[in-house]
Amino acid sequence: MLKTFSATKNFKYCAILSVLLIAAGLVALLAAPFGVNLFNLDIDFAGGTTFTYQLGEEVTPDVIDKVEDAVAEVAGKNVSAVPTGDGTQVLIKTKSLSSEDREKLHEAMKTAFSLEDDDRQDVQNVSPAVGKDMQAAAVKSSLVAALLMLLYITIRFDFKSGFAAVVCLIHDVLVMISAYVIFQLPVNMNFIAAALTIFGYSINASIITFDRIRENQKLSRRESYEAIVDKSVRQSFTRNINTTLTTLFTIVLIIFTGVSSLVNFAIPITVGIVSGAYSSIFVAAPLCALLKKHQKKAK
Amino acid sequence: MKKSILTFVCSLLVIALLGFTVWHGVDLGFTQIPSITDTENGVRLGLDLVGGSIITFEGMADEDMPAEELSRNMEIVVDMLRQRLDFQGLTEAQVYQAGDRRVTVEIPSISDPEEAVQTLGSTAQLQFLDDDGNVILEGNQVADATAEYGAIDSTGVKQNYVSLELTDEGLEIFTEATKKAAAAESEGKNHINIVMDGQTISSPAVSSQYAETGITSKEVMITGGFTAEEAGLLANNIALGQLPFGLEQVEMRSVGAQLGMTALTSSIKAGIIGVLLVMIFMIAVYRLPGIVSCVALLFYCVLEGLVLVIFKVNLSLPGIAGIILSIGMAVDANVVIFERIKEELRAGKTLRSAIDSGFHRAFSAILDSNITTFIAAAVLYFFGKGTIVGFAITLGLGIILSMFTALTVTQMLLNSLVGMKVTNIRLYGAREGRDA
Repeated sequence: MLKTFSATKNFKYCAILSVLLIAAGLVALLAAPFGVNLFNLDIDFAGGTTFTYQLGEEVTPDVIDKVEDAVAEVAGKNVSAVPTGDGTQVLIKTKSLSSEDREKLHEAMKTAFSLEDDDRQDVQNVSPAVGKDMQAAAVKSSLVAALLMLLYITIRFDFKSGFAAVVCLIHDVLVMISAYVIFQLPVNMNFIAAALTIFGYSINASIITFDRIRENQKLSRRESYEAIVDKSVRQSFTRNINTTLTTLFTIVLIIFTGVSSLVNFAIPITVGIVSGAYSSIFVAAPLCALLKKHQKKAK
Repeated sequence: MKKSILTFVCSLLVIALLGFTVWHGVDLGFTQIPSITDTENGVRLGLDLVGGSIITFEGMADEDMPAEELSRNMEIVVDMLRQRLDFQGLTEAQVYQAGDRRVTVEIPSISDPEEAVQTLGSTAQLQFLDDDGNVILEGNQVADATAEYGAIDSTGVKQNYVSLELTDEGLEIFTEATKKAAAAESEGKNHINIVMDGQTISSPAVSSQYAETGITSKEVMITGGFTAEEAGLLANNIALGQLPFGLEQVEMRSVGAQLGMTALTSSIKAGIIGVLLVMIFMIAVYRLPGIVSCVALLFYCVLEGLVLVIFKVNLSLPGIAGIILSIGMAVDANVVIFERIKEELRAGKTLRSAIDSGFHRAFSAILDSNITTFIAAAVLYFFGKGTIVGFAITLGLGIILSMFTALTVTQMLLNSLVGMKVTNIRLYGAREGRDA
């Protein structure tokens, strides 16, 4: 199959698949400015307080109810409690509480589940003001990174390849954002790190493919551009898959550590890397070919 | 041939030697390289790994406070927090200003973060007491306190001192009190004790020359052979008594020591298994060059460790994730090169020229792809907040080091293998014969 596969001829199927993959992320992003929030915003951006307790028993729905009852007096009704870690820990999320209220909540939890001080594994509090600042920093860093990379790609490649590579980039980041929406992963500072990593990394595979096209064009001038693209995609196929595999080996292992802050960070990176391998083969090069064809017709 | 064997053996020796250095630490006489396991002098583990609290306070200053006044007040806040931490024996803690009106405190291994938040953020209580413990002045009766340097008497010898400015109301009480104190010199009760939050920070004596009149000028000097730093600290502490705003805790992250420890061991385990998996994959797919890339990968790991200990990098949990991720990315360059070499062999080139053109042709692709990832890491470093900066550092570092080892070490070793007449192209992953 590999010897005869044509990325350019199958582009329409890939395009449909891509649209499906990015739909959730795109909708969530477009809805955000209109006050519709489809993300699971973490306290980093939304402000709030979280507590993690080791309860020493499985966190069943009954236990959740008990937790919510215990903290209701201090934190009110608007509290979320979910199992975390190995399932015997509970993550409690409330509005931003003052130090005194946090102490009260801690005492209430200690009484309700007869816990020690050490059973509180972590407590984090971010005021809404700091959350706003972090949001601003996140937006700023994403924009700056995108601009710098666009600039670099435009300098190193012709406009059409650059454009196709950037489309792929945006595609991969959107696929990653879809994963955030669908799996309701917490959106926090790690989200920005994951997004920028995908930004920087997923372009690798596209660059390798484009490099190949550039080279093949010099070698065989008589072949049609589509044929060259298909050939280049096939030639760089193994490389793209293998480089993705080695990176996946390490990032997937981070998921297996079970450390929740790392897991929430490694899942989206994994999704982005897989998407990067897919898009560089099935989207970047064929899209580039499509653009060049239109250019020829216009002449 | 001999030269090739020498190069090969030397490279392995260098890696072994550097590996030993990183693991055990080495005393070079003029400088010391600490061991990577030495968390006191070498790699500093972040609070998310050893457990502890990071607390950020915001000065509730008026929006229209002039920048200069604000920055002077924030300096005072930093000094105050430092002092309070020292009083509580939390000398390991760090205090630094984060932004115009925010101050961050990092306290390792603390069991009750809320208590720390409340004592650190409380309003300062400044009092001047006499030797019998009676309150003379409250903080709001001091208008200003500054550290000065200059001649204070007729001898003209310059020294550091603290200059106090009292309010009118304060001066009246102070004149009386100093008169009484100066008169009590024979009983040893001639001190004015400056007390902050119940802790005496300075006990200057009132000179006997004021026994008749008391101190009558609004400008009061406290001398005592201070260094400039001591005078500055004392002035800031006194000025605290009239700090025009309170502190509000706006961010706090506290991690239990146990959770951090579990996270550390499981992520180190993940890193080691990750390296092994990558190595097995590389050897299985690329045979002899695969082994060479494993050596390069080891060299990369050792270099990374060396940089971490030499620059005393503050390693956070995301920082470790960055290292693990960059291990996977480190072999990318080798994959690109080896695939290229395979193709060149298939096209019928000799081994040596296949290796040469493999490196030559893969270079631009490797450079481009690494630069874009590096841009991402750099942006994250400059705009990121909190522990994520650690991720940016290790990722950026990993990219530079991995590109270096992939391009230099791999090439050197492969060439020396060819020089050693290891030229069966099957070992390089190419099938016998040509299938171009």
